[in-house]
Amino acid sequence: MLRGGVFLSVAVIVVGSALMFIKGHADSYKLSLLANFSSPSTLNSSLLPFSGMFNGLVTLDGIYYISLGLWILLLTPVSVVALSAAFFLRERNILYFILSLVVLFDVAMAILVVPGLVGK
Amino acid sequence: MAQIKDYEVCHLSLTYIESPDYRGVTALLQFLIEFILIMVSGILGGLVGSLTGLGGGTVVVPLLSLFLGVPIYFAAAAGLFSSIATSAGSASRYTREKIANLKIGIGLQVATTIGVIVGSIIAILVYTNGFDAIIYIIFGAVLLGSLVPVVRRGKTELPEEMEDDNTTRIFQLKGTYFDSKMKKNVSYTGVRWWIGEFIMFFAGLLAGLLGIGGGALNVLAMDATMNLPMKVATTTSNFMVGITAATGASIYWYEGYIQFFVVAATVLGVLIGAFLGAKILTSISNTNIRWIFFSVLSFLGVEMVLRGLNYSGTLVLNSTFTLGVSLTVAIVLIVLLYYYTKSLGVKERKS
Repeated sequence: MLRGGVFLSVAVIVVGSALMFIKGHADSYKLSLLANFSSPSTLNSSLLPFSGMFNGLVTLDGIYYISLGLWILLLTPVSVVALSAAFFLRERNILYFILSLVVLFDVAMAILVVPGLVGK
Repeated sequence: MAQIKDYEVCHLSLTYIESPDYRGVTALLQFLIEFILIMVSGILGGLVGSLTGLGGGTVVVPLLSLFLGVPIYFAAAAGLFSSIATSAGSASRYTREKIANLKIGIGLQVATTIGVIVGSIIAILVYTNGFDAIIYIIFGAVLLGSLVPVVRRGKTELPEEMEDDNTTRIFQLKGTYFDSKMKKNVSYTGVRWWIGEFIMFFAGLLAGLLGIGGGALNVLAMDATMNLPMKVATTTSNFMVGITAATGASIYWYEGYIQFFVVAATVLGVLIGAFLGAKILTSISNTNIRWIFFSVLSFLGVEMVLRGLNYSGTLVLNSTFTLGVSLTVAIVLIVLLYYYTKSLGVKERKS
């Protein structure tokens, strides 16, 4: 499960990086700007809209593949906690079922709520 | 979005890519080389991280920020993703062997995930107010501090038996695992769950602040406070690091600290390095090789502190001098640590 998630994410990141190099650009950014991490106008994660994900994947845009790969990586450990919650529920271990849910709640807070609180 | 500083003191200046009008094969080659340079840092970080047990992020963040001139928040985000990758890669092996304790892991994750949220928010405040120097100094201090458990590791196999307390019963902290070296089943009993939670909060906080997994402090809490065997502590910590880092990484994501080029290259490199590290660990059992890695860590630690002092304007030295100081301090530390462990060894033999 864990290893599968890592393999899948690595494969997608490799594809994305290759596409980025082959095409020389991604999401209207030239490779020179994508690679230049010390430039203020380089592409970072707050500039890449999630709404463009589907279109980006269909048009073989490298940066969206890298982005997808990173999200697979990020959600891999989260899915393990979700599985643990199911496992504890089946074992009728209510205490640990609730604790698993609390952990998932914290992660959901980090993904959905905290960004809004901190603002841009 | 934090303001981006163009630090001129990068050891490897990559300013040739400033010109946006590069075309053709030579330009492509330059970016490819840059990608590979970041990957090499990742490989080194993954290698040292897996050999010392510190995980993927701890070594790669200083390598990226000190030697490749990657802004520290981009480096920290790359560190978080590296921690997820190495944790997931090695944790799958341990959970299959059933050494990691799922209950203890889940229970303590409650504290690390809250800690990492707080830590990431502090990091954002630090960066948006331009206090990046503080991160370098704290990072250096944590690197130097993490040398201590690395040195002491391998001495204690099993903890002394302790009486159960209330939390042992409530949180079901008993477990067994099969130790392949001792060829027997080992039973253990965890205690002081609340103190464990308390320390874990700070482990999470440091993870969010610095972009590391926080494994060193996890192990300390489980080994020293909750009285768990070292193997259970390290494997359970490894399982926990993934979710801690993932929680921090999602906050970093929305803040714009993920630079895709850097993170992609780093993650790929770290996984290669961790894979090589696992291979080396099984084939070489030479303890002397650990000294090389201690020196790497202490050198990076001192270098990070000095770089932080430099950026804050407290102590401005030129980079060659800084390098010299870091090397000297690293060597002195190694000699001290060497004699310290030697004296420990003598004491153990006598008693």
